[in-house]
Amino acid sequence: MLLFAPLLKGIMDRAKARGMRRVGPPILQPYRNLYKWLHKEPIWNTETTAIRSIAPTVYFSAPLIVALLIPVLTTFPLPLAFMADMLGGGMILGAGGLLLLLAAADTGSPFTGIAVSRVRFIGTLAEPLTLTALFTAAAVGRATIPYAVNQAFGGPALFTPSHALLLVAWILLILAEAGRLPVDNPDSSQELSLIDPNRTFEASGPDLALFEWGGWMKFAVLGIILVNVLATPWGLAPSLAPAALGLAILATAAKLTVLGLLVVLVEWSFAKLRLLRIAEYLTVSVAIAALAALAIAIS
Amino acid sequence: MFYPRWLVNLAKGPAVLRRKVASRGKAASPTARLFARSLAIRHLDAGSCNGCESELSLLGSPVYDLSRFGFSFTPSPRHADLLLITGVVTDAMVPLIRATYEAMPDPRLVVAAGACAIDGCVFRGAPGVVGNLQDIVPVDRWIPGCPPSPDDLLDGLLALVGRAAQPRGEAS
Repeated sequence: MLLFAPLLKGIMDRAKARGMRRVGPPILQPYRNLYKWLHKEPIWNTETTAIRSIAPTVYFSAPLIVALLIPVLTTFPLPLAFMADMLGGGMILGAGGLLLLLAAADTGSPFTGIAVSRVRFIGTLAEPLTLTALFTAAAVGRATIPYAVNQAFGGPALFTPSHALLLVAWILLILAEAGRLPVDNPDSSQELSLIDPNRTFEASGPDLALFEWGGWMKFAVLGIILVNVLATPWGLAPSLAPAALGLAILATAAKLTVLGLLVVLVEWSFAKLRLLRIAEYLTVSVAIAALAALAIAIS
Repeated sequence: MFYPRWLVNLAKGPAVLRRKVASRGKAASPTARLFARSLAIRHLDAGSCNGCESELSLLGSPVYDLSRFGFSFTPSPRHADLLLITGVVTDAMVPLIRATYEAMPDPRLVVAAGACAIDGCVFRGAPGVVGNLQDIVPVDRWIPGCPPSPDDLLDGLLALVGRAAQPRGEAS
């Protein structure tokens, strides 16, 4: 996942550019950007405190830790999978995001300040969405361990109204959490309108590489939860045999690519919402997740 | 002089794209080699008439699309590898240019684009106009023109990072 996340970003960037009739950057571009950032010097302004030295590392490692908890490649739980359930995974991702925000606020730059308040505004509204969606999935699997939920959706719970509603809610959550259109435009360069990219405005060099890489991995983790736990819980390796693992890697990569192209399709089709309209977007998402929970209660 | 080129470009597509662009940097300096395929540009308008800006904005258009070379524009000097200065440099802008350059992480490059940024053009010697940009920040490349066409700009950037377009089937 460490190595695949930049490729996914590259594929999505190029696909998006193609949709705008541009040639677009090469799909290996994110790797070249990472290489370049790792060879530049880090600069922080003199106002920053110790937070800036730990934030990049934590933000970078949070998705990696969560990847140990969710079924990335195998149907059986990895040794560390019982350390935390889905809520725990959400909290680990949240801790990484929080440290990034603290580091951004720490610099005292007006643009990062705008980003922090906006991201928290969206985060506050997305929180009930995350919890409702997670609890609905947990109710289906009768457990909050992602592996158990994966087994449940692989079985009779697959074609139920609640499952379909849950999928829609989770896709809307990914769009909001990963800062994609219609919530936020990741390619814009208008400082005043940006939300997510503004957080890293004061980061440079290796720190920027860790922030960006962490962000791409966070998108991949949310995507893996969607494709491997909720939407298409097949194609995972039942054993640690190299052949089975290889197939699982291919299947997961293919599923993530399809998800990425779906997100790009949404980006082609929609304009960005005004900041306050994002509240309405998330309200609808929460309503869909709540309906999914209701559908379980009825059935 | 300019117009025949426009007509040729209209008929055959932009000149810089008709030539072969080296996929790898062949630059002597390690800085240019590092940026050969990944270059974030911070544009700084030091007092321009917007002629250079309208040409610059064309670089992101479907025809030129500088992202195909791995180049991009960035709003933050912290993310920038190259400072692109356009317009007449006045006394009031000197501290800002210096501050932007200081805010960029090493290694970094500076390009002055357009006749005004190079020597003031028709404003040379006017009160409050700085004669030489080189005294403020070390300029790595000058891209002349009033305004420089998107072709010139892309050519200059590619040459700076050692991926100079080689003329294909025509004399250079």
